[in-house]
Amino acid sequence: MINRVLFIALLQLPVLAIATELGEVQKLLKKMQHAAHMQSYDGTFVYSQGENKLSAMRIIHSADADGERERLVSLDSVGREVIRDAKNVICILPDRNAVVVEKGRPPSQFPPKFPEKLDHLTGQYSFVMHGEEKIAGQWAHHLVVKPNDNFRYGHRLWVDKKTGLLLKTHLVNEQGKLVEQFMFTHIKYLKQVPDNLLKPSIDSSKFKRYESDDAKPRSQPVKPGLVWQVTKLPPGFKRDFQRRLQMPTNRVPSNQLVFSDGLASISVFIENNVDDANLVGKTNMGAVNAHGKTFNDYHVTAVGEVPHATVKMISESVVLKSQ
Amino acid sequence: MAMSEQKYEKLSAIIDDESNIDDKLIHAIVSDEALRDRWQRYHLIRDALTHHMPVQGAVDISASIAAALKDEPTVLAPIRKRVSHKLMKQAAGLAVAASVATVAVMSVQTSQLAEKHNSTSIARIEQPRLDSSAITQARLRNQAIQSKLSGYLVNHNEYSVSARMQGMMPYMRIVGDADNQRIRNDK
Repeated sequence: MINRVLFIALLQLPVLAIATELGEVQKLLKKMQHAAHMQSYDGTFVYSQGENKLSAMRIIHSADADGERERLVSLDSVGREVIRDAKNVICILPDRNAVVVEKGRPPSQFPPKFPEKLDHLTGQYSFVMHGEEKIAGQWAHHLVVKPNDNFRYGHRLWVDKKTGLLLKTHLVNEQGKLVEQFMFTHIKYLKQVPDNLLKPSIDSSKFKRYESDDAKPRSQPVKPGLVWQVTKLPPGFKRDFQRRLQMPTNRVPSNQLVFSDGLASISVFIENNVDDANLVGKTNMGAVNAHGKTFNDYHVTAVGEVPHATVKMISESVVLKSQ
Repeated sequence: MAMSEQKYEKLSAIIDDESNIDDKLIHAIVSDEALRDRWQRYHLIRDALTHHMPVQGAVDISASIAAALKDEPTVLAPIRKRVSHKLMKQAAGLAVAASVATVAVMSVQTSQLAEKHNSTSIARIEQPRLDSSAITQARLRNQAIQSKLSGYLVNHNEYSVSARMQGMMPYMRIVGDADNQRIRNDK
C-alpha cells in the first residue's frame, strides 16, 4: 500500500516539477516585461541580424514620474542618435547635418499595460530553464523557448536575475539558425538618470531641422458591412489589434491587423490595389519575413518575425466577408 | 492655403519629373521658404530611406536644381508614362513621412535592384538628376515597393509583442546600421 502511494507520488513528481518550472517561467517573463519599461539604466549592447556585421549601440533608459525616456546612440558608422519620450522622437543625423523631429505621437501608457496572461503561451512553446550565466557582468537566468511547431521562431533569453532586464537574446529560425541576436556588453543600473545623459552628445544647433507636419491621415469610407478576415491562422494566434492608417509611404490608406501568440506578432496590411508597386511573393529583413499577394482589387502584405511559411499562409487566407 | 496646396502639387509634379517647368515655379521654390523646405525634406528622406546619401552639400539642393532646370529644360520633357507618375508620387509621398522611425529604416533594398544596378545608378534616382533616361519603370517599381515595405516594418514594430516585451528596444532594429538591412525579393 505504502509502495503504491509512493509509486503514485513518484509518478506525479515530474509533472509537479514541470508545473513549478512553468510558474517560474511565467514569473520571469512578467518580471522581464516590467523591467523593460520600469528600469533605469545606461548600457552598451551589440546587435546583429543573420550573418550581418555587428553594430554597437549605447542605450540610456529612464523611467520616472515623467514616464519613459530613452536615448539610443549608434556607436559605429556615422553615430546617429535617437531620443524618444512619450510624445516625441528626435533623430539626429550628423552625417546629414540634419535633425528630424516627429511630434505628437499618441501618448503611450505609463506604466504600460502588459499583455494578457502568459498561460496560453504554453500550448505553442516549451520552456526550459537552463541555469544561470553571466552577461555583461550580471548573473542572468537562461531561458530557452522552443516552438512546438514550425509556424514560429524559437527564443533564447538571458534575463538579469536581480532586475529582470533582458540582457541577451537569440532568435532562432525553423532550421535552428540564428536570425537575430542582441547582447549587452555593459550595463549600469541607475536610480535616477541624470538629465545630461538623455541629451544628445552632438551639437545640432546648426543642423537643419525637419519636423513632420503633414502626415495627416486621409480618411476613406470603409465599405459598410464588410470586414477583412484572416481565415487561416497558426494555432495560438489571436487578433491583438486593428486600425486603419495612412502611411506616408502609401498612396492609399491601409488596414493593419495585428495577430500574436503572445511572443511573436504578425501584421497584415490590406489596401486597395491601385498600382503594381506591391510586393508579390516573399522577402525578408533579418528576422522579419514578409509575403505579399494581390487579390482582384486589393493587395495583402503580411509582415512578422515568424518563418516565411507563416506569413505566406496568413497573407493568402485574407478574405472580405460580410459582417 | 489653396495657393500653397497648388504649389505643393506642382512641386510634387516636378518630383514626378513630369511637369512643364516654368520660371515662375522655379522662382517660387527658391523664394518660398516652406516650399524650399519641403523640397529639401523630400530628398533628405528619400536619401535616408535608401541610405545612398550624398557625401556632402546635399541638403541645400534647391539652388542646384533650379540651375539644372535652367540648363537642361529639354531633359525634363514630359516623357514619363502614367505608371511612373504614380510610382514616383509614392516615392515622393514617403518623403512626407519625416518619421524618425521611417528615416531610421533607411535602406530597405530589394536585391533585385541591387543586383541589376550599382549604387550609383540607384543614387541617381534619389537625386532628381533630371537624367530621365536613367530611370526605368522597374527601378521605380522597386523603389516604391521598398518604401512601402519600410512603412510596413515601422508600423509592425510599433505594435509587435517584442515592443511590449522589450520596451523600446525593438527600435534597435531600425536604428542600427542601415547597411545591415536588406530586403530580398525572391518572388
